[in-house]
Amino acid sequence: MKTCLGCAAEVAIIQVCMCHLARFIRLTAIGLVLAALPAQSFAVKNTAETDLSEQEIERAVVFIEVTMQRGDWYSPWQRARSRSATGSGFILGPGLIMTNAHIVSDARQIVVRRNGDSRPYFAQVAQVAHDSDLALLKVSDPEFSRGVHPLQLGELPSLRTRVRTYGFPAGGEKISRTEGVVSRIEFITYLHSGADAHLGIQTDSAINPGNSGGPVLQEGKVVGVAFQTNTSLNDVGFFIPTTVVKRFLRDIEDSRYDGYGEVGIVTSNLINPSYREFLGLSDSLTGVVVDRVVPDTSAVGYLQPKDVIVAIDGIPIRFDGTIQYYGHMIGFEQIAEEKQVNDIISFTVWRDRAFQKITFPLKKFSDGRRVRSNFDVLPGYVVYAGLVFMKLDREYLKTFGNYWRNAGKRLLYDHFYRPVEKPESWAKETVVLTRILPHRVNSTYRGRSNSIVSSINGFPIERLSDVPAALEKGKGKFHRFEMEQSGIVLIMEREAAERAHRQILATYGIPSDRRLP
Amino acid sequence: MTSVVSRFGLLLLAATLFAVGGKAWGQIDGGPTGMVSLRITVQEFDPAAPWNKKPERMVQGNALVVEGGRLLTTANMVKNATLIEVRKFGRYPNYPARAVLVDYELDLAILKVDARGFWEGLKPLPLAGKPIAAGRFGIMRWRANGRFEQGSGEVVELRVATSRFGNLEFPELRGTTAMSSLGTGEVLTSGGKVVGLVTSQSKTSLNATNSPLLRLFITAAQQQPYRGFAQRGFVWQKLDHAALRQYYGLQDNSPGVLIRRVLAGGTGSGQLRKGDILLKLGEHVIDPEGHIFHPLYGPILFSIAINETLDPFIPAEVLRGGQRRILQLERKLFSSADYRVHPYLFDKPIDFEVFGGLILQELSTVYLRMWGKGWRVEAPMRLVIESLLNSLREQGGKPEKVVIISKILPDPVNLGYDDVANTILVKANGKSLTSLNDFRRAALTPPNGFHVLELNPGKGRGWMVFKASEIDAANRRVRQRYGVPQLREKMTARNRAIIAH
Repeated sequence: MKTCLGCAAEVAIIQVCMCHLARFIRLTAIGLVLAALPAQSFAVKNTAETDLSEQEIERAVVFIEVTMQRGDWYSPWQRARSRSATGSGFILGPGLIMTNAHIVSDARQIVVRRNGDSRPYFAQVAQVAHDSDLALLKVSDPEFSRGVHPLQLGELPSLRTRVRTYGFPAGGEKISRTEGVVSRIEFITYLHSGADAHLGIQTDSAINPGNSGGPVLQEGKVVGVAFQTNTSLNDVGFFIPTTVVKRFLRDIEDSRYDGYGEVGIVTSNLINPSYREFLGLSDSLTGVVVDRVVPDTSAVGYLQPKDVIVAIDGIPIRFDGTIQYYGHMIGFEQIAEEKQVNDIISFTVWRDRAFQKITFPLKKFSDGRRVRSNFDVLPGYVVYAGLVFMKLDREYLKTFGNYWRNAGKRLLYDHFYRPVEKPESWAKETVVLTRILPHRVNSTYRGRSNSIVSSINGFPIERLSDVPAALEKGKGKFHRFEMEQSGIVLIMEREAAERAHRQILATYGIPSDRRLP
Repeated sequence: MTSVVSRFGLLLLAATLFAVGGKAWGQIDGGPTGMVSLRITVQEFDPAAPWNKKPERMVQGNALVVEGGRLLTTANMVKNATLIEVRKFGRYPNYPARAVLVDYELDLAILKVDARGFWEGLKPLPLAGKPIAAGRFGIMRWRANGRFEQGSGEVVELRVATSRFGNLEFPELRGTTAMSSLGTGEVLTSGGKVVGLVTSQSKTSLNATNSPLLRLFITAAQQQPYRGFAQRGFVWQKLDHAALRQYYGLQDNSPGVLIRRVLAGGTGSGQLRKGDILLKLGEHVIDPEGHIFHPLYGPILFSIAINETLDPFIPAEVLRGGQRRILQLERKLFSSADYRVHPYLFDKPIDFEVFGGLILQELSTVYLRMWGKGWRVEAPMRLVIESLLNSLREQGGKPEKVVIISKILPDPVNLGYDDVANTILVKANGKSLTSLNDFRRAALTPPNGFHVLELNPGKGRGWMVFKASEIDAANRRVRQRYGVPQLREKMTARNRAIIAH
C-alpha cells in the first residue's frame, strides 16, 4: 500500500494515480480569488461535432495546474502544506472541462491552459465525484472556449480496438498523444477514494503522471478519461469509461452530485454444482447467492442471506455473476451502477425454492465518509487537556503512512472487521485518543495514544460529539477516560485539567479546541 | 590413522592454547571442558502441507556441561530435532544425545548423553549466583570447525523479556558484542563463572538468559514432575499519575499497580480481581510504575517475581475495596486450553484435516510465521489480528481454538470455492467450531445430505456446500492427485474419544 503524493490517494496493490506533482508556477498577472460557484445546471448537451480534425481535438485538451492544500489528520487543527500538481482535462462544453477528481481535490487555486494557447485561465470546481474520480470544472471567461469544438462522448469501446490518449504527461506543457489497444474491461478499484469499484478499461496506451484527466479517444469521440496505472505491469494504464462519465453528468443535471446508490449486498458465485443443488436450483437456472446484507443499506429488509439473485432488472445473471453488457461479460453490479440515488432496482430472487420479484429504491451508502479517503473536508477533532480525540476513518489510518498495516491491530480490527463481524457492537463512529500533547496534567499518559475510547465519565462514546458532552456531564472531582484496550483507565483531576486546557491550546498553537461536524 | 590423530591433537592443542592464552574480559579457564558443541538435525512440519515435513537441515550450537551428567542449551536449538549429536573438545566422535526436558516458554533444554566415556574429561563450569548487571563479559563457543572461540561483550541492561514462544516473562540480559552468529547457546562468563546463555542475536545486540534462572531451571528439572515456570495471568496498569492515584485512594508515597483484566489461566487467575491494586508480590514492594527493587536484578518489572522460587504459591498483597488483603497466588502455567491460537507447535505433527480438498487446521503462530519475519504485517491481516489480539482466553471464556481453511486443493467437488484460503471457519453443519475436533464431529452428521460450512463474515463468501455423498470420492481423488498420504493427522485415542462423544 502506497500513497500517491499527487493526490494522497492510497494505492492498493501497486496502482498509482496519474496526476503529476510539480512545482507551481506563480502567475502574478491573475487575481487569486476562488469563490464557490453559484448553483447552476451543468447539463452537458451532446451537441459537439464528431468529425473533428486532429488539430481541433488537441485544441480541446487542457493543461491543468493546481495548488492544493489538505487537512492534516495528525494535527487536525491545522492544514497541511500547500502543494502543486499538474494534470490534464478536456473541454466538454462551453467553459466546461472534464478531468479527474484527484487533480482538483482540496484545490486552493486551479489554472488551466488550452493546448496551443499560452493564456492562463482560472477555473473552479463546478461538480466533483470523489467516488468515481471525476470532476467538472467551470471557466467563466468566455474567451476560454472561443473557437474550440467541445469533444463528444462516445460509447464503451470494443476489446482489442485502438484508442488514443491525449494529455500533458510528466508535467510537460506540450501535448502528448499515445496509442494503444483496449485490452480489458472490468470492475476495478478507483484509487482516489480507495473504496469504490466501477468499470475501468485497461489499455497499453501509455498513461503517465500528468495524463490524469486527459481524454482517451476512438474515432473522434471520447471513450474515457485517463486516471490510473499499475506499476506491477508493463505499459498498462486505465481509463474511466464513458458509462461512468455519463452517469456523473446525469447525476449533476440538478446541480447537485448525489453519488451512487448502493444495493448493499455481498454475493458469491454459484459455480459449484453441490451448492446449486442444495439451493434447489436446476441446471438451467443461474445466478449468484447473497452472503451478507450490509447494515443500513438499500437491501436491508428486501434481500437476505442465501437468496439467489437470478436476474437484475430482468437481465439474467450467470453463475459467475456476470451479465451480457454491450457485447461484454460484465459484473451484474453494472446495472445498479448506472442508476441514480432513489432509482428503483429490481431483482428476481430464488428464495425458499420459489421465485420472487423484489424491488426497492437505491439509497446512498451511509458509511462512505468512514471507508473512503476524504477530500475537500477538514477533520473533526476535540482537544481536552492535551488529549486529542478523533474518529477512526481511512484518513486517520493513513497518518501511519505507507505502512498503515503497522497501525494498532485493534484499530485495524475496528475499522475493517468489526462493522462486518459484530455490527451490533460497533458504534457508527469509533473515537480514538489519537495523541497526547504533553503537559504536567497528562505527562505519564503518553503511551496511551491510539487507543479506542469506550467511555468518558461513565458515558459511552459512540461518536466524536459525545466527547465534549461527556466531559460536560461529568460532575465529580475527576474525569475518567476508559479505553477499550483491556480497560485502560486515565484519570484527570477536573479542576487541574480545566486549568491546563487553555495553557495547552496556547502552547501547541491550537486555535480552537474542537471541530465537530 | 596417524595423521588423523595428529590433526585432532593439534586441534585440541590450539583450543587449549586459545583458552589459556591472553584472557579477555571476563574469560575463564575450563571453557573447552565445560562446554560441548551440538550438531542437530532438525526437520519441521510444513504448515502449508501439514502431512509433509520440510527438508531437514543441520544446526550447530553449544551446550553447557552441568552437574549430574547433563547438558544445558536453549530450547530453540532442539526444536523439531530428529538427531542430536554432541562433540566434546570440538572433535570426533559425535555422541548421540537426547533431550530429556524442553521448556519452550523459558527457551531452555536439558540433554543427556548415554554413551560410556562421554563425560570423561568434561567438567561443569561454575554458575554464578548473581547476574552481571554492568560491565564487560566473556563469550565462549565452539565453532563448527572444531575451534574454541572466545570474545567479549558489554552489558546494556537487565530487563524483563517475553519468551519468543509463548507468554512467559523472565529476566534477560541484553548486551552488545562485535562477535557474530550468536544465539545458539553460547556461554557468557564473568568473575570466573558462567553468567548467562545466549539465546538470540540481532546485529550487535545479544540476549541471554541469566545464570540465576539457569540454576533455577536446573533445580526444577530435577523435580518430578517438572512443574515449569508460571505466566502472569492478569493485565495491569501503572498508577504513575497523581490524579489516577488519588482516584483509587492511594497516597502519594504508596505503592501498587492497577489490575485491569484477569485472564482464564496463569498466575492470579481466579484470585485477583479487576480493580485490585497489587501492592506486593513475594517480598517485593511494587512501585507505581510496576518496578520492584530486586536483590539480584536491581530495578526491574515485578512480574519476574512470579518465578523467583519454585514454590507452588507466591504471596501477594492487594488493596481491594480499600482493604488490604494477603493472597496466596498459585503459580499457574497457561495450559493449552488457555490459548486460542497455538503459540508453538514443535516436535509433533500439526493437526489437520483434508475435507473435499480444503485443508483445515487450528491457527498457530507456526502457520503465520510462514510469511517470514514480517508476518505481523505480511500474513493475512484477519488471522494476524486473531493471533495478536485474541490469542489468550478471557476469564470465564470457554476453551476454544480458531479453525482456519489454510488452502484449497482444487477438485471438482470444491469448484468455485477457490477464494476461501486463509479464512476462519465458524460453523460446520450448523454447529459452532471451537476446535478441529468439533469440525470432525460435525462432519459425521451432514443434515439433509449436504455439508454446509459457514465462514467468518467478511467481504467474501459466506458459505460453502458439499454434497455429502461426494466427499469420500473427492477425498480419494485429492489423496491421489496431490499425494496426500492421509486425510488427517493420525488420530490419537483421545481425539477419537472426543469425536465419538
